[in-house]
Amino acid sequence: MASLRFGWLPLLALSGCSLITKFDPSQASESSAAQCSDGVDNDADGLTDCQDFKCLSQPVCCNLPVIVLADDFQHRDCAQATCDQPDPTCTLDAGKWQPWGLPQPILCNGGLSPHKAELCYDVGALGQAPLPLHPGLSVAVTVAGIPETAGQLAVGLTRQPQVGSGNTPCALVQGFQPEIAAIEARSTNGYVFLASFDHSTVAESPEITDDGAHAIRMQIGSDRRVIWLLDGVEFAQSPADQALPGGMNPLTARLGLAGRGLNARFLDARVSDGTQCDAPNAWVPNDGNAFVALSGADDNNKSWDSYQVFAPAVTTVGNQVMLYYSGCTASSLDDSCSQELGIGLATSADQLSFARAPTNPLYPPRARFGLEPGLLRDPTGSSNVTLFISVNALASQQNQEVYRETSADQMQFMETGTAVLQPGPPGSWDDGEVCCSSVLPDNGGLTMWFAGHSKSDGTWRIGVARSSDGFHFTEDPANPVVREGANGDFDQNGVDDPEVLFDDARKLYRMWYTGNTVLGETALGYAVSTDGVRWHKFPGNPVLRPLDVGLQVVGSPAVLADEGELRMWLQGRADDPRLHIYALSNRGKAPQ
Amino acid sequence: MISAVRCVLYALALAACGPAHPVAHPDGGTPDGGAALVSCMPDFGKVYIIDTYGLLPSDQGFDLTGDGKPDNILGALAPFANPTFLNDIKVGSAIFLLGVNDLPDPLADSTDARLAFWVGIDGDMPPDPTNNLSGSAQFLVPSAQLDVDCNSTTVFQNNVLHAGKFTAATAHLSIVAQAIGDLESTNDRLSFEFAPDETRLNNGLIGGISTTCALAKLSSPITPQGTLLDNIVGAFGLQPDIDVDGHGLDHLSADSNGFVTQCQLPDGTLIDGHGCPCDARMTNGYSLAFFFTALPANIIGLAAGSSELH
Repeated sequence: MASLRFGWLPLLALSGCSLITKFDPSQASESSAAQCSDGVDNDADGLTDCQDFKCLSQPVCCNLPVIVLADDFQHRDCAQATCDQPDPTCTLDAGKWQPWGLPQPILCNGGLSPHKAELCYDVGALGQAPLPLHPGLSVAVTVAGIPETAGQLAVGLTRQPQVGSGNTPCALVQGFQPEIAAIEARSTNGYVFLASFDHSTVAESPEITDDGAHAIRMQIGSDRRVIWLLDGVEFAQSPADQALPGGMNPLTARLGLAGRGLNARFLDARVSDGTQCDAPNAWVPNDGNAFVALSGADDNNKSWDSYQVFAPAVTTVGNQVMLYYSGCTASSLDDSCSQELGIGLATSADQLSFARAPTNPLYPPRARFGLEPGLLRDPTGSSNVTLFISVNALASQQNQEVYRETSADQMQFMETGTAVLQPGPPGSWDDGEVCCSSVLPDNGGLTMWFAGHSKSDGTWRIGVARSSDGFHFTEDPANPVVREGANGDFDQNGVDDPEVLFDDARKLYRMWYTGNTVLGETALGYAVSTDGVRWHKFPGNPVLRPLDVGLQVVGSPAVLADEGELRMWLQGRADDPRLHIYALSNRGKAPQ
Repeated sequence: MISAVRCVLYALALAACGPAHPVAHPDGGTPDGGAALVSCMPDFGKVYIIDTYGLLPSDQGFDLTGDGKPDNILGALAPFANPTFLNDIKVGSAIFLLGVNDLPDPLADSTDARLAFWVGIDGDMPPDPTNNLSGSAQFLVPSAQLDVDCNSTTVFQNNVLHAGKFTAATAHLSIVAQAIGDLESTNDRLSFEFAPDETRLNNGLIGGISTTCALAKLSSPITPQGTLLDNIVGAFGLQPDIDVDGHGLDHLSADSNGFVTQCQLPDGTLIDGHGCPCDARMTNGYSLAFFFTALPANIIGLAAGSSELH
């Protein structure tokens, strides 16, 4: 029926018929599988296919992998030691891996290395998780280093419950025998991967001639055949007449990372089983104690952040989550935050437990109304951290504005005296204050989303500004780009604390923000945009109400996007009058 | 008892067992002819097969301790062992190969020659031991005896060829012995003399130290759940004779079944249990020395060693 309706449209348009002016695109739909994958903005709402909220539940848009095993060897701090002198305490996560062989593989040189000079059997590690050999299973491993003539890495799926391990480096054992594998082999100018199925080589990958990182992936398709991809390009497929068994109870296997030699190493490994749909409101608090990521030091005002912590901003450096936050001591007058605010850093390797940096506070406490960190989210993983700090100096009675501070070690920031974003000119929507920024690299420059309000109206709204040099920002004439909602909406009294990420797969900006409603109540909203200017609020907003997670107040979301998973840190308050930083995750929902 | 002794000595001789496999290294061809893969094929050099060997008497061997006396405590087993060794060579169950690379031609003094040791497999299909000592016999080497650079895992250093005599040493020797495991020895020394026409190696001598732990990691050929060390201590009553760390000699005790059950450190500390020889505090070892002669042979390729199951 829909195709019939669209079939008329060109005719009507060409005819000049006045009906065209009465055509309401909002009455068109973008919700079927076909409409969500045709490259057309069928309902003319500015969002195409999987960008459109209405397509989120369509299987064609449910591409978020369900991660069942992930390990990032490359970014383990202890794995940076040389392989000749590895850190003896740097061991594989026993909850994920069962190593075998002598010498056991070690974490060194920024990866997992077999570190075995003998050619005889491969040493390695076997994943603890049983993996069903059914469509949707995908194994992705990043490797680096050109192996020796007879060295190799092998990533494989094996039905062995364990791999034999002798008491000498070449003991007689039953070695790693994967049924599905990608095995390195030295070539004239480098190395290749041999795709192995049922112990037979089915194809050879293109030659790799450098010792940099390369991604090898094996996945089971809907036809129950295995395909192999090198750096995203398919190079092998298992025989058509040897499809994996189907049925409700598929064979299970375990992931093995094996090898021999000193040169090549595994950088990371990730296994996903099926896909899930983006579900903007599927936020779940971290289990147990991990829900509260950070609280005030609670040491009778001995620490600068003794009373409470709030306004989180997160980024990653290596495998460390860097959580920048505001903190304060307790007021001497009542049970509240003093006006002596500072900024500190807490780090976490597991995204669950955070440790305060020893050099805290990074930004010394001053007498301020406001002091909030914002971050430049650098997708290159640079160790440089650039904070965009919203400052309001109490003594000078200045309005809140945004300063830029950069640090190479993530901890030492130099205060620069010039604001990179100040309140707008008199009479503008943000001539009162600007604050609470979120910054992304964009076309060689930077794009900043921030909150602001006018002197005449305390309602916070969200604007966007761009800079070609990273220091001088120019506001978009369309500002404010996100406004408060209508009466009765969760954000009817204003929107602030924007947190923006870019989804490269969907070419979509994603914003989480604080919505203010009556009587100081808050909730979190979500919006998307293809250009960073025209934003579409999620129809299911708010995506998180305080009571959803047992809190009284939520706000200032900070979000990290990992493959198949979002993690959020926010400021919140429960029964305690103090703000804490809480952690949640969102793994989407299963396709319907 | 005689058979038990034979088995122990057989194990000591590092006999290579197991079926021969055709060359099947993973670096073979590829189904669809992509990049040319690199073959793992060492340069074996000038190859010799050991045609006679045996334990030297205890009063002969290398002076490993520097006290002016030969060290070869396991030489006490020579009268029992040596006939077995000779038979093992005859039936083809002990194929020990030496490969010499970069040998000057004609023979001259050199420090550039390199020596590797291999435990070979008969290259005949089916195996025919009668021609092993013909001077032109062909053998395979299990690829398990290679390192990832395709060199022998048993390579000697400090190689010196002087006046036709070759001497070499290595701090650590690991010899693949498929029947009982890998024999690890340390402070190994080797010497032999080239015949003028290079058709024989004469007056060969090889010796070193095998720690109690190294011997305890080898399977016993006579007691199913025992180790070779159990037999050395329990059946022959031999104690370690090399004080590796300079702290004095350890003492091992065996029970009536011939199993090591207790170790005593030089300071009197007792370590109980069958695993005591591998306690980190146990550093002593047994000295051993073999004589040998050898004649020419050929290594024609690699075999997938049975310990290389992948």
